[in-house]
Formats: sequence, structure tokens, C-alpha cells
Amino acid sequence: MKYLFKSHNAHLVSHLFQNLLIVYLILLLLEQVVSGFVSQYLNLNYLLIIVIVVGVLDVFSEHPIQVQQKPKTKDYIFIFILGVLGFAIIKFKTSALGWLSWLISIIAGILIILLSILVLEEDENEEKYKNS
Amino acid sequence: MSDKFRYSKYYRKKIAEKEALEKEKQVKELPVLHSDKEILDKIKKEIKEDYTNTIDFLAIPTHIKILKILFTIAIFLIVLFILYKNFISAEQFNYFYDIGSKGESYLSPSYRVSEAANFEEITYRNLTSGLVYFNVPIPRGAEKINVSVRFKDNFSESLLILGAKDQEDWHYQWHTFFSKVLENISSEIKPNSESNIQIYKIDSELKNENLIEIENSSGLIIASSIPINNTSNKINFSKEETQINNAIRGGHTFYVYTSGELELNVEKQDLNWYNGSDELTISLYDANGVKITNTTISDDGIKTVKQDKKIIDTQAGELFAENLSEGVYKLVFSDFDGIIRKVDINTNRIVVAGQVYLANSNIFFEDLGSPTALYTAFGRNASISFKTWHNQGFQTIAVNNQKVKISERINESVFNALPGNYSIKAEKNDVIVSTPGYFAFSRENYFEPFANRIIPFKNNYDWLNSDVDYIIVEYNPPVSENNSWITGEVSLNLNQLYIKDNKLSMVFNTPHLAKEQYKNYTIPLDWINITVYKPGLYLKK
Repeated sequence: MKYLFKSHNAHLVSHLFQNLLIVYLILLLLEQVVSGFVSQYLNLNYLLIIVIVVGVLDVFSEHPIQVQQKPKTKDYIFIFILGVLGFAIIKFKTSALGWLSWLISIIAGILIILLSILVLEEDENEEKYKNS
Repeated sequence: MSDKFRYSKYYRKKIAEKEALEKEKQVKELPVLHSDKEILDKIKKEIKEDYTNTIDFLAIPTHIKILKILFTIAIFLIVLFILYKNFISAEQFNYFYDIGSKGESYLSPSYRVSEAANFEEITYRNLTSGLVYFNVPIPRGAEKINVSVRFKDNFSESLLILGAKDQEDWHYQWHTFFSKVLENISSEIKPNSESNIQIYKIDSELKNENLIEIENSSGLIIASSIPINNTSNKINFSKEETQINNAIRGGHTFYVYTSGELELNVEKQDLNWYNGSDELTISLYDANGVKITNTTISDDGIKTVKQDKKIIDTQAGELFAENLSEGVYKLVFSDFDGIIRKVDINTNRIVVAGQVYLANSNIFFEDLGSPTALYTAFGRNASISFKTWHNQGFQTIAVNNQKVKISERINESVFNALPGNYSIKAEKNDVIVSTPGYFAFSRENYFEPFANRIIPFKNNYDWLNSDVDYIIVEYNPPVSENNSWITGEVSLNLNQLYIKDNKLSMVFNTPHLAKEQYKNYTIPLDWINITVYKPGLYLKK
């Protein structure tokens, strides 16, 4: 396969894509939580177009070989934080539903944690299976 | 012997060969020795690669490093920009609704506006019904909104009012864009403008010009659309029980003069002419409009339409307040589908403000029907108007020694009063009596609560000219263009309005379009220009 970008240029595109994606997701989350927080001043769709374009360039660029690593405690802590964050956002957005809001957000939080652990450990198991 | 076969030598040789073979085999089979080399090679190779990578990494060209830093800063600036816009900077947002332009659908419901029209390259729609709504996006932290509208007027009594939603229920704060009546008065009397408040002195002999002077004077009748300070009068009163046994219908505003304890007992009866619950809420306010207490008398249990004149069930309630300093208090009876049959209060001074719906008529209940007497007084010329909704309300009303005939539904019969005291007698009742003043059900109960009579502004040219000394309204005189288009502007404070999902609901109210006979006098609307102001962090109040 012929890459669009190689070496340092590929690294630069990857760096840009990752940063843009994270910022886009953070702004999108803020917009969801506080309606109008971002959209009053910046059309997120324009940012999305930039993210997609840079993402496509990144896909067709050279990537360093990824080394699989064993999950560490900090990965589990990160997953737990994401679960709690997911719970808080869903609770905030569904607060009008009363007690149902608690139920939905707790289930959603648990699902986020369990699915993330499943994905994390599946990678590890896959690695073990390959080695065996 | 030397050629002689020697087993021992043969076997030793064989054993040695075997051992050597086995040793060789063992050496061959020993993976450790084989993989060690490989591992070593591999490690060497990896170290070399890592080293190369590290060298490569360390040798990132300067322009790549600079670009990486620039990208990071740019992305960081996006986040800073959003935070700055939200929390620090003062902002002004402009929304231009070009009514009638291709594909627009700003106004709703669509059946209350005409199809898009085009005249001399100006696109517009006509407002064809009383209430037409539109929404305005309101950014977080915004405090003020300016709404400009370009429209045409083609009706002598037309009024274009803008409503801004100020409660969760259907409740709007009203602001006049255009009043033909005020425009006509303006052509005769130059108003005194204090910011966006216009003061029209109808009686040219009066001296006071500005708002403070007017507020500090007495004996005036002021038609106003804004709250105005009014000094309460000090009068003689006694804390004796007063009973009002004359039935009145729906909401009313009473003023009472009392001190210490206030005891109010009310008996009401639901008409059930309309669906829904018919609670009556009575609220007590002081002279400055501060709520003291309230009580609610419950529904009769019938929530559907059930017109039964024989029902004699009434519901009673009481309101009690104590430690009241001597003075004027306001009692507001909320509007409801029913009759207030009895009011019992422990003061001899009680009057109804502005309007009273006499309901002592058997059109409501069989046991009602006795005549009612009212008392009122004027210090200047004023009108007393009578209106009935039903044929049963046709009658001749006695006002002192004169007669007023009511022979039409809805249209008012007017009695022009000179300064003096008046007693009004209605034989059949079912009539709404209105005046720019107060009514009492007996002369002993009558009192003048305030230094000035402040009454709600009505868009009626004749009434304003005959009954009112001053008109004080919040009104930005609209600007007329040569081509008969008019531009009106209204400013609103967003802190007093109800904003949901960052949107403010607004409504155009054209009262004349709600009347069948004026349906054809539609109002063309060219555009709506909305500016929303958000103060900066340091300008926030």
C-alpha cells in the first residue's frame, strides 16, 4: 500500500487528528450538557468536517507498529472514571424522568464499565491465544 | 594376533561411535544453544531498531516540531475561544427573520398567516388572526433583547402588541409595538418622553409634566401600562363586620382599609359552564403590591360541563391575616367559572376596583334574581359603562335619577357622569359595570384607597379623551416610511422572561383580528429583526 504521508509527516497528521478528535468530542459533550455552550459561537459541523478530513488522511498514512500491552490498574481506574462520567451525564440529561432517571443512568454507568473491561480483557485474551 | 578379531576393541569402538552419535544428536537437539543465538540476534536487532527509532525521533526536523506545537496551540485556542465567549466577552447576537422569503417558516401556526406575498420586491406575509407565535434563540447569560418589526397598518383602531413568555404556563408579558390610538393622540398632544415611557397630558389645564410630579399629586385619573407609585389615603374606618350578599361572577379586585387582624369569609358556587376545575384563589397584598397571604377554595367536584341551576352546593373558605399596620390592602379574587355568593369581612371599608360583574340573576341559579345596588363617586367627568353577554341581561339601569338602557349584547351602554356621587340600581343584573374608579355595595363601605386613580390603559380613543387625565405608557413611537411601512421597536429584559431550551417564545397580538367584523384588516409583516445582548463578565449586574 502506498501511503499518503510517511515518517514525520505521518506522525504530524496522526498528532493533529488525535488532538482535533479529542477537542471535538469534548466540545460535543459540553454542547450536549449545556445546550448552546458551543453552538452559539462555533458551528461544530465545520469542526467535524475538519476532523473527518484529517482522519481520512491519517488512515492512509504510515503508522508505527503497535505493541500490545497487558492491562494495568490505571486502565481499570480510567474505565471506572468514564463509567461515573457517563452516569453523571445521563443523569443530568434525563433528570426530568424522576426515579427512572436514576435507574437509567446507573444501568448505563455499569454497562459502560463492564463493556469497557470486556473489550480491554478481550484484547489481552486474544494476545494470549495467539501466543499459545 | 594383530589380524585376529578382537571383540573388546570392536565394542569399545562401537560404544564410542554410539556415544559420539548420541552426543552429536544431543547437541543438535539442544534448543537452548540454538535459540540463544537467535534471541541474541533478535535482541541485538531490536536494540538496533530502538536505537535507530530513538535517533530518528530525536532527529525530528525542526519544521515538524514547530508545526506540532502550532497545531496544539491552535486546538487549545479553540477551547479558550469558547470559554472566553461564554464567560468573559460581551456579545451581541442578531437574528433577522425575513418574512415571506423563500422557504421561511418563522411564524406559527401557519393558518394564522397568509401565503408569502411580494410587492415592489418586498416579500411579506399578512397576520390574519389574533395570536401568531415565533421563537427566538437566547444565548446563555443574555440579559436584554431588542425586537424590531416592519409592518403596515391599515385599520383606524389597530394595535400591534408583542408578547414575551414570562411563565411556564400560557402567560405573556405584553409590550405595544404600535397603537393607532396613541399615534392619533400624539398628533394632538406632544408626549413628554422619559426614556421609553411616554406621558400624555390629556387635560391641558393640568400642570404636572413629569412622572415624579404626577406620582406626588392627587385626584388624578391615570391610564397606565406600567406600575406607578401611588400614595394610599388615610381614612376613618371601624372594624365592624361587613357582609356583601350580592352575587358577583368570576375574578374581582377589592381594596379594603383595615389594621391588626383581617378576617375574610367567602362563599362561592361553581357554575360548571366550562370544563375543568373551578378553584377560587384569594390573595391579600399590601398597598405596595407585596403578597401577604392567600387561600384557595376548592372545586365542587364537578369538572365537566353541567349547567344545573338547581345546584345549591356552595364551598366556603376563609383568609386570615394578623399584625397588619393601618392602611390599604388589596384582595384579588382569581377568575374562575363560578359565582362569589357571599363576602364577609371585619372592616367597614371595602370597594371593588374598576369593574364588577353583577350576577344576582336567575340565568345562573334559580334562587338568584334580587336587584343589586352599587355606589360610586367621581371628582371629574367620567363614564360608567354597562355590558351584558346574554339577552336575559337586557334591562334599564337606574343611575341616580337617570336611566341607562341595555338592549344589545356585548356592545357597551355608557352613562356619562359629572363629578358627584352615584348610586346604581340593576334590577335583573347579569351585567358588567365598569368605570375608572371604585364601586361599593353600600355608601358606608365606599372609600378612595389612593391619592390617584391608576387604571389599566385601554386602546380606546374616546374613552381616553373623556375619562383620563394622563396616559403613561411604555411605548417607543414607531417610525413611518414614505411607502407606508412602519418600523416599531421594543426592548425587553430577559431576566423577567421564561426561557426554555435556550428559546424564548414570542407572540404578535392583533386584537382586532380576533373580531369577526375586522377579520379582513390583516397586518402585513415584512421582517423581524432581533438583537440579543449578553453582557461581559465585568458588566454583569
